[in-house]
Amino acid sequence: MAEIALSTAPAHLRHGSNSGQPLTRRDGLLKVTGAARFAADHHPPGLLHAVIAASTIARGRVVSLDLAAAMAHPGVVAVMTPAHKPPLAADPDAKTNPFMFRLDLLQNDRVRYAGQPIAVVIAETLEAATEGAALLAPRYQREPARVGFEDATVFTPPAVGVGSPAEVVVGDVAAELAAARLRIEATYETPAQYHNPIEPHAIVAAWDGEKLSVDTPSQGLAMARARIAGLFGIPAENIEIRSPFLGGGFGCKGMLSGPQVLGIMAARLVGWPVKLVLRREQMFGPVGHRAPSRQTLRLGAEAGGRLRALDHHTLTASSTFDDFFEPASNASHTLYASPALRSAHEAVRLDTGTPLFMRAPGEATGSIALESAIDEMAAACAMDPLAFRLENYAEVEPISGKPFSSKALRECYARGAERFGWTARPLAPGAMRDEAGLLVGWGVGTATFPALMFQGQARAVIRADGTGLIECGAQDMGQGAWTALAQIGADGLGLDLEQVEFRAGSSDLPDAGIAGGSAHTATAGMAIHAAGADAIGRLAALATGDERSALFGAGNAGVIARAGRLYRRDDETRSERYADILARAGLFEIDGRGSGAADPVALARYAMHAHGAVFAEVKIDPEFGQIRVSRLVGAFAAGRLVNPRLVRSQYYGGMIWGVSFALHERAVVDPRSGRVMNANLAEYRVPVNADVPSLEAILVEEEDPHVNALGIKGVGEIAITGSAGAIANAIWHATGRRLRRFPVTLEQVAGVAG
Amino acid sequence: MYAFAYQKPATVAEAVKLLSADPEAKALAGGMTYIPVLKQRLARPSAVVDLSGLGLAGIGVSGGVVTIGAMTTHAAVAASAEVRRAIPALAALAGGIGDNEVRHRGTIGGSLANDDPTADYPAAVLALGATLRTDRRTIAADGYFQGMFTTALEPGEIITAVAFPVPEKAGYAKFPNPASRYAMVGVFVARGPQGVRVAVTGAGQGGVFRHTAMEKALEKSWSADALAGVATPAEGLNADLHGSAEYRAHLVGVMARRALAAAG
Amino acid sequence: MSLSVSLTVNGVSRTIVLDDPRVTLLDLLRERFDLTGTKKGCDRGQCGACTVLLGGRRINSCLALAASCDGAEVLTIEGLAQGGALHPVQAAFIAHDGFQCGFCTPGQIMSAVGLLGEGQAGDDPERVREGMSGNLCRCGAYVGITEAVLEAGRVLAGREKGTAP
Repeated sequence: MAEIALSTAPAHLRHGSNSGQPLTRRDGLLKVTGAARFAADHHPPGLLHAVIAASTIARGRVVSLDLAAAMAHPGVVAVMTPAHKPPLAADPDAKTNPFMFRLDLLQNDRVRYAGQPIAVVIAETLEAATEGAALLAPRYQREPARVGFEDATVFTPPAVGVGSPAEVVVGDVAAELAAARLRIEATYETPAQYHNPIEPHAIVAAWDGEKLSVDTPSQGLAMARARIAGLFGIPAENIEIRSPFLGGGFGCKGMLSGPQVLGIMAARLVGWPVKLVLRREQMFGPVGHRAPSRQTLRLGAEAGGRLRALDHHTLTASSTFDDFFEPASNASHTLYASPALRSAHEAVRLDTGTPLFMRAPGEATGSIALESAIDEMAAACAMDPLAFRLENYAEVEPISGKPFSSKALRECYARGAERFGWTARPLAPGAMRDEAGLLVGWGVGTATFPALMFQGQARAVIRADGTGLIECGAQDMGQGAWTALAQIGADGLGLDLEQVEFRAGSSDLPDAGIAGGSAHTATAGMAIHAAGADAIGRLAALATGDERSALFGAGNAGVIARAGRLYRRDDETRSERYADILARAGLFEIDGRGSGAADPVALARYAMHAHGAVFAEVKIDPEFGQIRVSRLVGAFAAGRLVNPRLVRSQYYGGMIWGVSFALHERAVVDPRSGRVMNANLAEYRVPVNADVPSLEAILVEEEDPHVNALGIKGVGEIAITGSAGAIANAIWHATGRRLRRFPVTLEQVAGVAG
Repeated sequence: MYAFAYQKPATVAEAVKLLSADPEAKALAGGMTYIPVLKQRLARPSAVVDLSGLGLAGIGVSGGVVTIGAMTTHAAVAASAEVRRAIPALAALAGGIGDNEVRHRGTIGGSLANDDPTADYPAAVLALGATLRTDRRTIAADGYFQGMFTTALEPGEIITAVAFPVPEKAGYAKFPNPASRYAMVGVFVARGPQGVRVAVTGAGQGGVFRHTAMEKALEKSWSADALAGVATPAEGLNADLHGSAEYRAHLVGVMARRALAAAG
Repeated sequence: MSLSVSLTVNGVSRTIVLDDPRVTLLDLLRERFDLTGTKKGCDRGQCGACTVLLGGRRINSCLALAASCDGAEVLTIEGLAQGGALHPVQAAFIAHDGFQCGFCTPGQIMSAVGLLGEGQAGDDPERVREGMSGNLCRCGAYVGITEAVLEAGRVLAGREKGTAP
C-alpha cells in the first residue's frame, strides 16, 4: 500500500510504503539467467568486429603501420588510421565545458601515453580483427617518458576535482602548529589505480544515414549523446544510446571515452554495424584512472588531544594534455574541528592517459592519509584513536563554519564500536596475538562523503487502467536504480510497485543526470518524485473539478493518493479510482513532469554529508608478513534509505574497495617504457572472495530535513573512505610499524626489504 | 593469435608423427598456459596438435609407485583417493594449483612440459625423484629440468605419464601469488627410497632446484630445528613486483619449515 | 581450414563448421551461438566471468579452443533454469543480493553450481569463499555470493535427502 500526501505534510515525510522496503532487485531474474543483455551482447545483422591497436610507447610518434599485412589477413575489411577515417565535426582536443575531456580519436600520429589507440582494424570476425590489429606492427619515433613525480615540473593547478580551489585556508596554520604542544608530520603515498569494471568498455554502433543507434555502457546518457552529436555534427535527437545495464562503472563510464567513439567512427567508415570491445589490457590507458598521490599531513594538538592545526598537502599528477587533479586534500574539509585548517594541491604532468573520477575521487585518496595521520596524532597524544576522534568531533563543518544538515556520526561511532568490541582494545600496539600466533591489530577510520545532487528530469504517467509508468533515463551500474527508483516512482504515484512500469537506461528518455558522485538516487529520485506529484496533481484537478466525482470540491481539503485511488484528505470515505477519473474525463492517460536538483537555499545554509565509522581487525603472519583483514564493521548514516538491502550491498562493496585500496591495488609503471607492467587481472590485484571473510554494515538511522525532499543522501562511495584508513591503522596496531606507502605489501610488513 | 592449423590425433604415435614432421607444430595439453601464450602472440605455431584425444588421463598405484597419465587434470589428482592415500602431499599440491576452473583443465603433463619456474608440479617431481615416461623413453627427474621453460624433452617428444615412488614422508607448502595462486615460493620436502630431497619452485631464476643444504640438514635430523641454521642465499632468486629476491629467500626458509610440519 | 565441431549445449546438440581454429569456446558461445549470458571479462582465465560447465566441471571457456571441445557437453547460464524454475543457486543469488552490476554473475553462478557439484565445500563458509575465488566481482558482492552458495547447498542437500528411498 503506497500513500503520498499532497498538501499538508512536509515533503520530506512523504515516504510511502514502497520506499524503505528491502526488496530484491527487479532486474535480478534477467541477471541470474543470463538474459540481461549488456552492450557487447548485441548482434545486429551484418555486424563487423573492430579491435583497437594501442601504442606500446608512452610518448613520441607513430612512424609507420604495416597496413598491407593487416589488410592481407583473411576477413579484415578496413584499417582506420589518422589518414583513413571518417571526418569529425569537432576537434577531439577541444573543451567547451568542465565535464568534457580530450579524446584520442586518431587525430594525428602523436602518442601521448602508453595504451593510446593508434589504429582500429575492422573485420568479419573477432579473431581476424584481433590478429589484424597485431599485424600492424607499428614503428615509432620514441621520446623519453615522464612517469614519476620526479620526472616533471611541479605546479599549482588552477582548480582540482570539478572547480574546487587548489588551496583553501582557515585560520593561521603556521602559528597554530608552532603553538601546539604535540606535532606530527607524515608523508603518505598512494598509487595509480584503474577502475577495471569486469565489463570492459564496449560499443555496438549502427548508422542509418544520419541516424545513429548505439549500445554502450554509460553512466551519463545525456552527456554521452551530446558529446556524440557534437563530434559527428548531427542533432542529438538522431542518436539513441541504450545502456540498460552497465557491467560496473565506478567512474570510468561517466564520460564517453575515446574507444567508444572509435567504435562509432568505425561503423561510419565501413557502413556496417560495428562492435568494439576493449581488451583487458586496454582498460589501462584511454578510459581514465585514479591519479597517484604523495600527501603530506602536518598536525598539531594540545596535550589533551584537541587539534590546533591540520595541514593537508597533496602532490598529484595529470596527463600532459588534459586537466584532472585528484582533490585528495579536500578530504580534510569536513571531519575534524581545528582552529587552523589548510588544504593544498600541487601537480605534475606525466605521459599517462588523463586521470578521471574513480569511486570516491579525492575522498578515498585523501581519507587513507587523513585517517592515518589522525591515528598518528592520537598515538602521539597517547589517546585511544576513537576517543581522539570524538575529542575533535566537528559540530559545524570546519572548512565553512556551516551547520550540518544532519550528522549522525556519533551514533555511527557508538554502534560500530559496540558491535566490534572496541573497548577491549589495548592502547599499545603489538599487544595482541590470536591462538595461531598471528599478530592482531584493531583500527578505526571515519567515513565521509558529500551529499550531492546533479540535475535530472523524469516523466510520470497514470494510464487508463490505473497503472503507472515512470520514464527516466537513469543508469544502473549495479547500485540498483532499476529497483530503488521504481520504488520511489511507485510511492510518487500512490501505487504498489507491481502496478508501475519503469523505463530507464535509454537516451530517448528524460535526462536523469549522471550516475556518479553518489548523487543519482537523490537526483533522479527527486525528479521521479516530482513527476509523480505532478501527475497526481493533474489527476486530482480533474476529479475535484468534476461535479460527478466523489471528490468534487475537495480542492482545498486536499487529496491523498493511495493504492490507485484518490481519497479526500478530511473524509476518506470519499474516494475514487484513478481509472474511473480518467475514464470519465475520456483520457487515455495523464502525465506529469518533474525535475530534481539541489536546493540552492539549503546549499547556502548547510553542509551536507553522509558519515560513518569503520572498525577493522587485521591478522598478520609474523613469518612472512601476510595480512588478512579478518573483520570489518562499518556503521553509516546517510539519510533515508530507499532500499536497505541494496544500500547494505553498496556499503559492502565500498568496504571491499577500502580493503583493496589499503592492501591490493597498484598500477606499476615501467620507468623506461612508461607502460603499466601489470595491465591484467592476475597482477593488478583486486580482492577475491577469500580476501574478505567477514564484513558487517550497520545502517544508522538519520533524518535529514534539508538535503532534499526525500531526505536521501548517497551511499555508493562513502564506505571506501574510513575503511582503507581503518585497515592501515590496524596494521600499525598489530605491528607497531607505521606504513605510509599504499598498498601495504607483504614485504613492508615482513620488514625484509621495507 | 597467429593463424594456425588444428589437429587432434587419436594415438600417441600419430601425434608424435605430426609433431616430428613439422618442427613449427606445437602440442596442446590443457592449454592453461599455452592458450594465453597464443593470445599474446608469444608463440607462432604452424599447427596446434591437441593431445586430448590420446587417452592419456588416468591414475594407477602399484608396487609402491603412483603413476599419473600425462593428461590427468589437477582436479583429478587432487580428488583421487589413491593419490590421497599414497602421497597426500601430491594431492594437496594439485589441489592448490590456480583456481578450480584451471584445475579442471590444466594437466600434469602440460605443466611439466612447459616447466614454468613458478609451477607447482616440478617441485613434487624433483623432490619425490619421479620418473617421466615419454613416447620413447623414461627420464629421471634430476635430468629433466634444465632451467626455466627448458627440459630434456626432444622436439616432438610427448610425456605420456609420470611415475612417483611413494615416499615415507612428504610435505609441500607454498606461498601463492595473492591473485593467481602460482607459487611465489613453494618447497616440497620428501624422505624416501632416495633419501631426503628438498625441491624449491617459484624462487629460482633457473626454475625448480634442489636445496642441498637443507637436504643435508634434514638427513641428520628430520625436524624444523635442523633447518634453523640453514641459509638460503638471495643470489639467483627471482625478483618482481610481488617480491624481492631477499624476500623470496626468506620465504624459502618459512615454507620449508611449513612443508616439514605438513609432512609430519 | 575448416573444422566440424559437434557439441551439446544446454541439452541441445549443435554442429558448426568453424572456418578458424582460433575460436575459443567462449567466442563460439557468444558470437556464433548467440548465447551471450557467458561473459568475457579478461580473455585470459583471470576473472572467471566466462565460467561454464564442460562435462559437468567448471572451466574458463576463454581458455578452451572450441575445436578441442568436440563431442563435449556444455552447460551455460542459459541452460540452468529448468522448465521456468530457477536453479536453487540462481534463486539464492537474488535472495541474498549476490550481485550488483550482474556482469560477473553468470560466471559466479556457474562456478557455484560447479562447486556444489564437487561437494568439497559443504557448509563451511571459508571453503566456499576459497572455492569461489576464481571469480572476481569488482562490485564487491562477496558477502551475498557466499551466503547464496551456502543456502543453495542446503537446498540441494535437502532435495537429495528428500528423494532418497
